[in-house]
Order: sequence, then structure tokens, then C-alpha cells
Amino acid sequence: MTEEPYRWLEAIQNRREYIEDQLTPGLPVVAISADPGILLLTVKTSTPKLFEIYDHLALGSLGHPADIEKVRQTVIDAAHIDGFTRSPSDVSARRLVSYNLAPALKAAFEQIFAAPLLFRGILAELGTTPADDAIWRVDYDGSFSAQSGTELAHGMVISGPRQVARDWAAQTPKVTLERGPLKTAALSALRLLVWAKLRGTKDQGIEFSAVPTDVAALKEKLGTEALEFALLDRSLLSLPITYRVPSAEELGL
Amino acid sequence: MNSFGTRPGGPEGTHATGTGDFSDLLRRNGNHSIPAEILRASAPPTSTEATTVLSFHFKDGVLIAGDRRATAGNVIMYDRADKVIELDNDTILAIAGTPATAFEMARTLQTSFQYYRRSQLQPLSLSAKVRALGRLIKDNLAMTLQGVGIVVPILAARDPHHQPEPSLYFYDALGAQFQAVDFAVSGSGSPAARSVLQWINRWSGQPTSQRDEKQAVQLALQLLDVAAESDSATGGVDRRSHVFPQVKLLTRDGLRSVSVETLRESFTALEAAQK
Repeated sequence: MTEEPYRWLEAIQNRREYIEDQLTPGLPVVAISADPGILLLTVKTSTPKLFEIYDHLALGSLGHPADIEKVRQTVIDAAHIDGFTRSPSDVSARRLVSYNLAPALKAAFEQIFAAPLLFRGILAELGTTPADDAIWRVDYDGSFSAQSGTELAHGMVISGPRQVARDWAAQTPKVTLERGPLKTAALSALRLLVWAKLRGTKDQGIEFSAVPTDVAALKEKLGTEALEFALLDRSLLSLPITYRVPSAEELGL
Repeated sequence: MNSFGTRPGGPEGTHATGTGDFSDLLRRNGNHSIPAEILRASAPPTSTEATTVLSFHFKDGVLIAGDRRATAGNVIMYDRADKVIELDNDTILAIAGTPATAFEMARTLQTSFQYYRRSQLQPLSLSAKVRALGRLIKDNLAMTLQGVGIVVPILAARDPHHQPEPSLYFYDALGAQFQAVDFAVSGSGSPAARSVLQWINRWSGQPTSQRDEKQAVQLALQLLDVAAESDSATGGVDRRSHVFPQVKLLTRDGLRSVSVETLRESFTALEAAQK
């Protein structure tokens, strides 16, 4: 079959449609860079979707839990090998995504006789200051994009329906999220999460400005009280571990 | 690494879900701690334990300390070596032996503990940490037998969830581990410190386990000073350059380093008491 290019293209197209179809119910994951650190937020489900990867790296994900696990393990392995053979400061999201994760995902995607990986993720890298932060979006086919510098004010979102992230990125003018103290950043993250969920399900035309600014109303729109969140804490940068799970009270959620 | 790899020992084509074993990951990536040429080489044994590290239980937990001198034969190479190393928030390693091997062991353990916690989503148990160090020493057998890479460390550790009281372990050069009830010492200057500690615990009327933090820190400084008197490879307290030993404490509340200021005050008080 692979000897016939048009059939290979058809197989790849079918594979993409199958994966997108499988990922569609995936709940959104949001990452936002602020002064206290990088906050990751999603809806809590029976399996965790936010993970510590390395001293200053965290992963937010959606997809099949077993596939998330494979990707998570691959990134952790690569980060620790790199940090051990060079130094922890040489471990960067850019190198992990560009030279490890993306080629591996692309290779897996193009192996049309193997089961596809159902995965979409955000890799967040904490810097010394918010301007040094970087947030990467990585997809099952190995495609990726990055946010850094002033772009971080826009926040990063992934969702089951691929169009949601595209809509968020394509907005003109781009929405600038309030990112001051942790509670402010958490509220912005929750609003973006609600926007993404509504946009991907029942209210596909919703504008961000129409999303409530009250936590109770946001949770009502979300349809659940349960949230999963993690923080790459900038105040812990001098220590080997910056990843921590803050309390709901700390976030005002 | 650019693929979702096959799990060692698993059926072909299965994906790795990880065992959390960082040493195994290093081996799979072709990173061997001991080059084959060294294993084949024959070299005359050299002095390998030139140092003094010590630890003992005190009222609040465990104290672990080490001098700062690094030597090569009769030459003092360095007087600010860090031989007491924090492996994570609950584990401290004090190294006596060949620095190259000892520091590599410490670095491997630091990465191993974090790697396990992150990949398995749970911390490594206390007994597994203790065994991990023993395994590294055992893996170093060839170097140990040649007398060029011997490491005889001390480990202080606790499990904050299941065993918050810190424990003390010492090892032999082949990797056997022993839990110390009262104290553990290692290095060329350790016989002097061991004798003093044995006398204190048996005859002084105030064993180390009954001493408070201030008394424990003063005792550690005294022990290293005594060790330095009889062992040229032990730095003790360098009064002229103001280089003090490393002293760390592991208690129910966690791990803490005793500051240089505190050590200076403690030692000054000890000296003043003698006048």
C-alpha cells in the first residue's frame, strides 16, 4: 500500500480524521504565565493530565491515558538524560520539543500500520522572569508552536476539537489576559478554560468577553466544581523542584 | 532519543512505560559509569579514603558532618570540598573515598530519586534509597578491587510520610548496608572520631542522643578537630582561612544546613571555654 503514494496519502488522511475524532471529547487544558510562575489548569477527571517533567518543566495533556503516559515518559527520560549528561540548565523545552518529542510523534503518526497515538499537549518552561517563560503546544502529528515574550499575555490553550486552539490563536486583536497575582492569573485561566470548553461544545460562537468573571458562574458554565491545577513556582527557582500543586484557596478557585 | 522505545525485556514493539530506574535508563543510552579500559587496566592501589565524615543521632534527629580537605597522596589539593551532599529534601550523603567516583554516585542518586518520583508519580521509599546506594557501590566493585575508586559513604535519610524519624546507614566497600543505632563514621580520620564517640556514648553520662542541637554541633566540630590532629588528610577547622566543616541536620521537620556563622560562633565558644 505504501508503494502507492495516493493510497499512503489517503491512509494518512484517514488516520488524521480518526485521531481528531477520538480527541474531540478531550477537555481543554490552559497554561498561563504570570509573575508567580506558570499556572496550568484543566477539568479534573479520573486520570491526571498535568505532570511534572523536570526541575522547571511541566506537561499538560489530553488524549488517551496510555498514550499520554508514553509521551510523558519519553519527555521525562530525555530531560533527565540531558540534565545528567550536561546540566539541568541545559534542559530546555525548545530542545525537548524540537529534537525529541516532535520527531517521535511525527514518526509514530506516519507509521500507518501501527496504532496511532492519541495525544495533544502543552509543555511549559519556567524562566527567571515571566519574559523568560516559554509555552509550547505539541500535537499528535509532531507539529508544534511556541509562545514566548509578549505573546505569553495571550495564554495557551489546547482542546479536543483542534479548531478551538486555532480560533484562540487567530483572534484579532488578541485577547490580553490579566496575569498579576496568582489569584488574578487563576481567574483568567479559568475564564479561558470555560471559553474553550463552550467553544468546543455547545456554544461555538462565544466570544471571550462574554465569559463570566465570577468563579461560581464560571464553574456553573463548566459543569463541574472539580479542577486540576499545577504551578511552576518562580519563588522556588533556586531549588531543584519548582512544580507544586497549590491549594484551591491559594488560587481563589 | 527520538522514538517511543521498546521496554527492555518486554515483547518486541511494546512501548516503554518506564520502570523509574535511572541507572537502567543510563545503560540503555550507552552511558556507562566505568569505562571498559579502566576495568581491564591494572594499577597499583592508592590511598582512597583520605577524609573524615561522621554522623550521630542527637535529641532532635541526625547530624551529619564532614571536613573540607581533598588530598592526592601527601598533597592538599583543595580545602573547600563539599563531602556532605543533599540528595533530596529527606536524604543526605556523606562521602569518603575517591572523589570522582563518590561525586558521580551522588549525582546519579540525585537524578535517580527525582527521576523515579517524576516518572512513577510517587517518591522512592526509604529502603529503596538505601539499597540504591548499596547497588552503586556494588556496581563499582571492579574499581574498588583495584584500589582506585573505593567509596565508603554514610547516608542519613527519612521518609516524611511513613517514617519521619531520620535513620542512619553506613556501608562497606562492597555495598553492604548497615543501620547505625547511635553513630557512623568513615574515612581515614574516622578511627579517632569513632573512639571519642564510643567513649561519649558509654561513659560520658550524656550520650549523643541526649544532646540538643547546639551541643551536637559543638561535638561535631570537636570530633573533626580531633580527627584532624591525627590524620593529615582531614581538614578539621581551618582557623587561619576560616574554612569550617560542613554540618547538616535531618530532623522530623526536614533537612537543614548549619550556617558558617553558627559554626564560627560554636567553635569560638568552645575555644573561649578552654581559656
